Amino acid sequence: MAEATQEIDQVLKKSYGAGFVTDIEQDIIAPGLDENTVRFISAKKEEPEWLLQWRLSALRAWQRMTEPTWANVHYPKIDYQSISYFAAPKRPEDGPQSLDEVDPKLLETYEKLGIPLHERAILAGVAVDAVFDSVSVHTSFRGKLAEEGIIFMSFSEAVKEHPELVRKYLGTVVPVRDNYFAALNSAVFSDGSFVYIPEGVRCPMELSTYFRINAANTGQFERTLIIADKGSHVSYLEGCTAPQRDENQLHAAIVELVAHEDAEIKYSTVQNWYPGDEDGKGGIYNFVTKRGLCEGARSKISWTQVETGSAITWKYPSCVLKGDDSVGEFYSVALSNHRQQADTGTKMIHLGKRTRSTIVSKGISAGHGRQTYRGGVTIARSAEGARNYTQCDSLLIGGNCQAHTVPYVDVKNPTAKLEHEATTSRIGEDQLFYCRQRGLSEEDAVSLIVNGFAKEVLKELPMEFAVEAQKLLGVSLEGAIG
Amino acid sequence: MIEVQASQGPEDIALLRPQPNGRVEHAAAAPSLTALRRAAERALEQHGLPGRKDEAWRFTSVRGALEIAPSAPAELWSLERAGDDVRAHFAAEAFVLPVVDGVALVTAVDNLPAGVQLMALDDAHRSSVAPDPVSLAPERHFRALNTARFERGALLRIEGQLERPVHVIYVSTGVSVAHAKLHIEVVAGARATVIEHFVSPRKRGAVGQGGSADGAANVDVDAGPSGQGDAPPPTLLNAVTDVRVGPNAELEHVRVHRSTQLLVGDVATELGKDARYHSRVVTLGGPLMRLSLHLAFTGKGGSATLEGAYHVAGRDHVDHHTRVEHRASHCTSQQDYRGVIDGHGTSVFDGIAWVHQNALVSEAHQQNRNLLLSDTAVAHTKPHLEIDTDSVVASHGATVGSIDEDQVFYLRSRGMRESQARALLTFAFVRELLQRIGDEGTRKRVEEAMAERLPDGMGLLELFGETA
Repeated sequence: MAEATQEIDQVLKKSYGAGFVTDIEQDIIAPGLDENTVRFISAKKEEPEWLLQWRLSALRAWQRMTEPTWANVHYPKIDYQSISYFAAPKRPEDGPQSLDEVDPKLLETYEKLGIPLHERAILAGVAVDAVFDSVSVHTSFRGKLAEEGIIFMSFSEAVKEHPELVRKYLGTVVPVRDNYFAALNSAVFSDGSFVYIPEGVRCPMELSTYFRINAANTGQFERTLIIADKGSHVSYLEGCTAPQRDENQLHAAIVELVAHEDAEIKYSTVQNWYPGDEDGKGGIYNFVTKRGLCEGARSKISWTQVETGSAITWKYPSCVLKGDDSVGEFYSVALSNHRQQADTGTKMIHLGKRTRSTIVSKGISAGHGRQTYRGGVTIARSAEGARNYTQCDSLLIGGNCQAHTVPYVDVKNPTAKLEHEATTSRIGEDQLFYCRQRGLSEEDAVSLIVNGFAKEVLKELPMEFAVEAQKLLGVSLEGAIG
Repeated sequence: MIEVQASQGPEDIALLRPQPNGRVEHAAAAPSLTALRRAAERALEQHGLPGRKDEAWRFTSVRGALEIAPSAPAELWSLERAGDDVRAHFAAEAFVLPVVDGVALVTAVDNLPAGVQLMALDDAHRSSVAPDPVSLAPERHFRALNTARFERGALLRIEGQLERPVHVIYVSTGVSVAHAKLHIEVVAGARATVIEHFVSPRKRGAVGQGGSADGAANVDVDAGPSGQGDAPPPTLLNAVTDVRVGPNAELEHVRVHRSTQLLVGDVATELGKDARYHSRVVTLGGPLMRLSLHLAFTGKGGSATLEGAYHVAGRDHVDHHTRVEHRASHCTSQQDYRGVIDGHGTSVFDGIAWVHQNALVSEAHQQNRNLLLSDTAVAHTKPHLEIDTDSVVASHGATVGSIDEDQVFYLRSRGMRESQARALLTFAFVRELLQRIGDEGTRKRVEEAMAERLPDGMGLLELFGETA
């Protein structure tokens, strides 16, 4: 046992593999946030007047709001005036035309992350819109997608090339005043991805953005907008990893999804940002607002997430099921080890008739990890025959971790059928014993059990992600029993 | 959980005004009690009363209660008469403590069984048997208001193995605001059943204007909320019950809520080593019925079941909050709340099972099931687990739905009328919990009362072979 414990300790103490800093020059404005900051960002990105005004209204709303405190997470107060709100790689005006022209240091970063852009593009058939800090550097396969009429570009490009689409949908799912961090993002958002799938088109490949936080002291305010027009289908992959830093970094992103009649959006996330060291020093603050609107009848939005990183995760990918017969899904594995804190879950708001939603949430806490599932299911009076199934299970490893489950259920229609189940337990001694007795090492056994525990969610992930996610779970948890 | 502070300031709230001609000030209270009252008064000034922004009161508005100004108390003799009237509904040998207008009539009880001690809280504080305050729930909001303003509380101390239950009946003579306080102490090794009944006054006398006793003499323990007729001005009963169950002692604690009053109840229970506690709550409507049940295991090996059955109709608003704290190891808790919601009724369930870090080998289960019978019924449910250790087995579940049409079809195929089939399925949904009430008389009474409230429910008891 002592030997096993040592091994386990080693695995647990394993430092963050993706921790490195790429040393390239950046355009950074002085820390602080006021109207001038917003005007600077907007001017820098050559945005139209309406967008500037929109940002300013968000800023004014944010200034009147107070930071929410209801989540079960604890962190020192954030000084929003000490954050720099804009960072872009230099030479954006004569940006690279092809991969060869890309700053080799940037490419090196991607290499370290294991995202060989060109290889991945060819072999895996995945188009990558890589975001390095705040400005999109390279967008591949745009030509191929354009043939189908699909728009997949960085947000700032979309503002220039398709202002009518951006203007029509921006802020319709997550309004400017939605919450504190959404207002902050709306005021200072830097860049992100924009996707439009035209009517009846099935996106021929999985769209993917890898972005990473670089440059210390820079909050990153990502904004993603995905619109699936009638009868279209898209699967979007999001994955993140950040270099090791001591200073806490704030990340307040917004993702908005709109699915029209018969459209389907599948949004998958693997989040592996720097979680801080064993004592909780450093690490990313991940305060994200993600929401999808099932606008049309028979539309479907599916969220799948594997959350292993960040010091603090605070996110609730949600679905507003407005169209009749629309479907919302949420599959989540969240892991918190060391001093990580995660308050995550989902909201399913049933408005349309016969709307259905499924929630499967698996929380794993180890070390001093703190894990909260917070979910809301609301059945409005109009949601005739709505159906929800919720399952949230927590797995505890070690006596110092916490697992909280806070489901809110509000029903105003008697034809609704709603079930909620949750369990909390530790890894069974008998399960471990069984595996050990078959010759598995303790850490292999734990890994096996944890992966089995999370299987329901992992199987929802696209192939490439599923492998990565399994590896992540394994690395973060192997033999956490000691 | 961080609660937003009450938005209500102490000014302008009618409920917080002092009671005209109140007796509290005159009583030469024991110093320890006076100190408690002062602290509560300060907490009240600091936190006020809850508003919608308090997480625990999100769905339950107490605005109606805040607008009620305290009226002058009834004459003591009219309280006594109401108390006598209440006792008349029970067998002569039954042990009944009437609490009229929040005043526990301890001196009126003369047939105390051996091993039972009953005294006014004031006297208890003055003597050596002063109850340790159960310090689970923070003194704030309605609890603080209760401590600051209650007129005469009671200490019920049980030392033996009681064969028969203790009935505590809360009635009102029509006074607008009443605060009742009861301490129940079951000492080591003792066993008892305590049944608290909250019943409606059949008629409200104009006690505020000089104490006409007419209202007081017409209390009917079997009258439930009718929800019809001329609405008299609302009255509020704010009842706090503190319970301490000693090592290896056992208490069955039944509460039957059948009141047309606004009712804010607060129960705090501490369980000692190997103590056993069964809370059985039956709530039959009410314009505002809020129960906060807070329980903590302070010694190893305790076990607790918290059960609740509720029926909500008309414009009833029923809100059950439970909070079970595992502070010691090897304890087991089971929560099971089930309810039927009809008409424009609203039900709120908010249950917390909190397992502390040092509470090893804990087991905590929680369940809330709701049956919606009408298009306008509303159910809010939030079963909530807070687990701070890995040595635990915990689960919770919640369901909301309507009657299963397949089951209705099955019963109809056996020749049952549709309305009858629905009534049967509805009744069966909650009956299981009612049946666990140990005292036969009470069990029958609540089963009948529950059946009466169901559409086409009158024939039900016959079906179950329990003719009244």
